[in-house]
Amino acid sequence: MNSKKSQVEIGSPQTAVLTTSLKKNIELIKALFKDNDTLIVREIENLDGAMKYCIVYFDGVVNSIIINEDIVKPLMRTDIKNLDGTLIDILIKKVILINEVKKTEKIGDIIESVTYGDTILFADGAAEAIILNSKGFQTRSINEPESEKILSGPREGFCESLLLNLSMIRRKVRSTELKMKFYSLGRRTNTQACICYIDGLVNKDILSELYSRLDKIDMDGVIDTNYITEIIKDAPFSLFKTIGSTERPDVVAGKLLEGRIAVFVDGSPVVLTLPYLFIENFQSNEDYYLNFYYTSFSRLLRIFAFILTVCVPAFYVAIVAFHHEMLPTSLLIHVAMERKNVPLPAAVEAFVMLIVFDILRETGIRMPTGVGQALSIVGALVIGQAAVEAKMIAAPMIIIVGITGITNLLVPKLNTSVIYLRFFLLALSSVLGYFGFIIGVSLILIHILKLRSFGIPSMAIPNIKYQNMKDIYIRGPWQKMITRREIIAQDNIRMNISGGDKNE
Amino acid sequence: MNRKAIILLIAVLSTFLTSGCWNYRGLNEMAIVSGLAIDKGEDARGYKLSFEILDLGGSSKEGGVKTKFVESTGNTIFDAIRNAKKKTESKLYFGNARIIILNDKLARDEDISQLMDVFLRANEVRETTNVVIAKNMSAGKAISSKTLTNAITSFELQKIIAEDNKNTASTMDNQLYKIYNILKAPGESLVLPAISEVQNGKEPVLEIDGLAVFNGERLAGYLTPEESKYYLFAANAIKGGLLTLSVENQNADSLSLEIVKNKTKVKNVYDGERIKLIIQTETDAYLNELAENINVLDEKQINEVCLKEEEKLSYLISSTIKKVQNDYKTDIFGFGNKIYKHNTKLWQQVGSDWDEFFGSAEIEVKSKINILNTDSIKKL
Repeated sequence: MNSKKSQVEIGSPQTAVLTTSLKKNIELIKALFKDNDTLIVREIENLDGAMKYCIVYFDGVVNSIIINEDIVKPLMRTDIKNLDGTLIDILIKKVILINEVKKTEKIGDIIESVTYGDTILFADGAAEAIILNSKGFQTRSINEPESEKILSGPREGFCESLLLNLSMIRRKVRSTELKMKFYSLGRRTNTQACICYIDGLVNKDILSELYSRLDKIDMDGVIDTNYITEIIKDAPFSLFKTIGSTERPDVVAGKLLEGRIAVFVDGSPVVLTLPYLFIENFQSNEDYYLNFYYTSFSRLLRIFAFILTVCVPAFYVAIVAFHHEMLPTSLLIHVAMERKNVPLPAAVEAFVMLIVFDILRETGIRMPTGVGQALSIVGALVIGQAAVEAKMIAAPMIIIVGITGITNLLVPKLNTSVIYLRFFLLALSSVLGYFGFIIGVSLILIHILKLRSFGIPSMAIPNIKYQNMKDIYIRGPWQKMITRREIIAQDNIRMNISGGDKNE
Repeated sequence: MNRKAIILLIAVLSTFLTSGCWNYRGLNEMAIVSGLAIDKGEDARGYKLSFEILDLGGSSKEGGVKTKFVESTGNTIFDAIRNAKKKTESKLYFGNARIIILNDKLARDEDISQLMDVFLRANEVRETTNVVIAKNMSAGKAISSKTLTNAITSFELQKIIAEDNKNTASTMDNQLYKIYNILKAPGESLVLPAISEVQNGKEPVLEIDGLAVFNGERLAGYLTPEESKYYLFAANAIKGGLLTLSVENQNADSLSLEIVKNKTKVKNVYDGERIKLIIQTETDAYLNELAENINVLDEKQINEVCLKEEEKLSYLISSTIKKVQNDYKTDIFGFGNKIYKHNTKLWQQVGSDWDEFFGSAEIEVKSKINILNTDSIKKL
């Protein structure tokens, strides 16, 4: 399956095949990589000049020491006298000092591997080539991901190299059941992807659904995981995520153990996990590393924050413009006093301030670290305070925007949806008051309830069971979380417990 | 995109863009009324209304909110409310009005259910607005007089009335919806809190002054604050307040009992001619003040206090009921309503002429006092 896409042909050279003539093979390679100065073609002969070889690699993605010591040196120093078997086999078995070796006659394979740091060895008289592992490119060191910082727990994060990323998972899940299948994506970029799952746990229907969706992709370039996320996700135009993403190996390992599937894409530190339930928006890996009392509370806070950040501006406008009787009198007096002298109606004011807030937030992200945050806070303070004092904006609105903005930060995974939902509700409630607000909330809820992720209902409503509730709104203590969710995982006993607790 | 989708989009957008905002009324476009007072019109026709509205001119940072007063007249109450707009920038908003003050003369001459109709009918006015009778002054003067804190008179007055039952037990707050309920309930008459002006030092301030008693829909007279307390006992509505007595001291009361809880049961006996009402009260109280030589640890002496107070309380309750029977002949205690609810057969016999039956009813009051607690010191 993994080589299927690589056979897609680009240009005429690929229709060519390898011949026994070394010279012709070299010409073929040079023609394939025409105008490509980083390609190194090095011809070698052994001591007596009887054997002729040629190695081909790309400069910069290989480890030169390996090529010098383990490929060039043995080739030059070795005389091959009696040929029992083909030349290629003898080279592989007796000469080359490389751990990972593969012989091929396909031009496609050669292109795929040479561009990834492998060295190709051609021998005169053989219509096959040997792919030698000589990868040696620089990768970023393993850092904690900026976007998913936690207080306690593992601090490593994925980087851009696929194999390094996989090694982090391999170290965490040392089981024969851990499967890692390569898959090639992108007609021009030939990007390696890896589908990773635990065989005994994964739901086979979801797995085959994933493969069938991946097979339909026919893009020419995949630079980041999001390229494929948007293509393979359910409800592609929905504001909500139906595929999870993370930069942390511990998160991926945790999700694998819940029976989920991870999709790695080379060149991207972001790994997809699927299926993705709506509640995962509020779960954090830290929930499992800290005391369950604490994390249950913070999970409830996140859910509350989501509701606040979406609803607060709409709620405020509905009260101030339509349902004054809902405000407690003393609050009404003070809000009315503030509103007395400002020029804009509350609804317009809310729109303006929310846009200003979003501008500040976006600026904060794009600014260099350190400067960004300070600047956005100062900007907000200055703009907020000055606007109130100049009687352009009523003070309560600053509080509303402040609450909206701060609670927004608690649910980073829902960033996209939150921005749009907020304006949607605000528009409805500034036209129809609470009536519109309720209509809007209902529409959003209907949409969320309709969402599916690879066939699994996102809200997992049919799956409400006592055991399952232990990891939704709260995070239960580990000794009580006995099962996995059966709609995701095949084998849902997580823990064997002794004693009479089993019937829970 | 197909045509249908575009048409749908235009349709949806135009509802937002062309219709404007439905019912949109900014907070800055209204005059918030905190309370209003109703008097008779000057030539005895129509009504004169005084509104207390919140002055939102100042900034909220400066602390206290000031109020302004608007007066208007009209042929009907609603007419007068609308006429107030002639003087104010924005329309009056009644969603936060807390109190309606009625003038004594108005309440005597006109049907209160008709006066209240406009407020019950309007969507803005809360059903929980309190209604008060201004006893010896015009309602307009009452609402514009100062209260102790110089804050919003209506709000403060409402709070005084609402918390009275728990602390001093000298009046009973009745809100719009309760007034409606009581007026419609058979065998029960309305009472409303009464206020009057008193001197507090040099300043005149408003004070609660017992209850206004209604006979049917019209004001009949008043109960003093002390009588109101016994009214609350009889009506099973008391929640706090003090009982004072003396055991040995003949000149003045020297003990205070604080009422914690009270339960009043009413039984009735009908002999075909007269009805007999047996009122049993059971009160839990704390002994809070003791200026006599009584040992609180001695059960005998405490029992003596209880007996003494039981005797006093039952006498005062029955004399209050008798006063109402003789002076107003109207069942403000709701005894009739209890019969209506629990003894339909009897009600069929007495219901049509209940006020007569009540007026001539024999009253028997049995009181019971339990002293639960004597506070922290044994003896001073």
